[in-house]
Amino acid sequence: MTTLSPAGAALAVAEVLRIAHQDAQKVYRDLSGLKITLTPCADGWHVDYDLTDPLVAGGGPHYVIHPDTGDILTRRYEQ
Amino acid sequence: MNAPTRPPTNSELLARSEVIQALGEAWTDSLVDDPINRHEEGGWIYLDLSTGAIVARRAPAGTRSRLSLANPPQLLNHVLVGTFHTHPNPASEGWDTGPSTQDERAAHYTGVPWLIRAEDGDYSTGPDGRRGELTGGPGYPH
Repeated sequence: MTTLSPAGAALAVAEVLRIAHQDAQKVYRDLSGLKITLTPCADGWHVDYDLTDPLVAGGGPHYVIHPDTGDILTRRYEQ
Repeated sequence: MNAPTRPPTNSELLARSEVIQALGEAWTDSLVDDPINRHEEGGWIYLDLSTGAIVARRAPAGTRSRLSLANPPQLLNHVLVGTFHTHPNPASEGWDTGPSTQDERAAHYTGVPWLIRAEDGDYSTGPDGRRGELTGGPGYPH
């Protein structure tokens, strides 16, 4: 597993992904066809779900997650 | 009507009665008041190269947050000048109502305006009119 994380972060990448995925699954139900990107940033983990098919309209969820507590600091649901 | 000399712009498309009707029908069919079954609807917009008339064709129904606009049907003596789809999910539940990052990217990729109806009005994204004007094939100019 990657060790990338925001400076001093306590949460493992897998836990960050679990937190995001739990919310995303509840809201979107179908997460197939979405590319997931986790980026360590100064304000926390950025977790982005993006469609990969260029001829599909729509979108996925985007999160900023606190690196220590796992709280979802911001969430944006694209459609 | 006369033969068109250029494709319509985004604002011209949104003002056309045929487009307004297509957006309205798609919105109705999206079941926006049904939190379980609401879904995206939409399709393609064509320009009649002889008369300048606008024609809409529907794509198969989408899902809660996506709709495939691949494989537009080809109409004789028509050229594709736009797409349309709905954003049925409400801002009150945290949803963005405007064009998504993917909508913007896809509209520029396909080379035609993408029109969107949401609860707070109509949006457009992508080029301001079909890329390459009326030249090229009848489908997406890419």
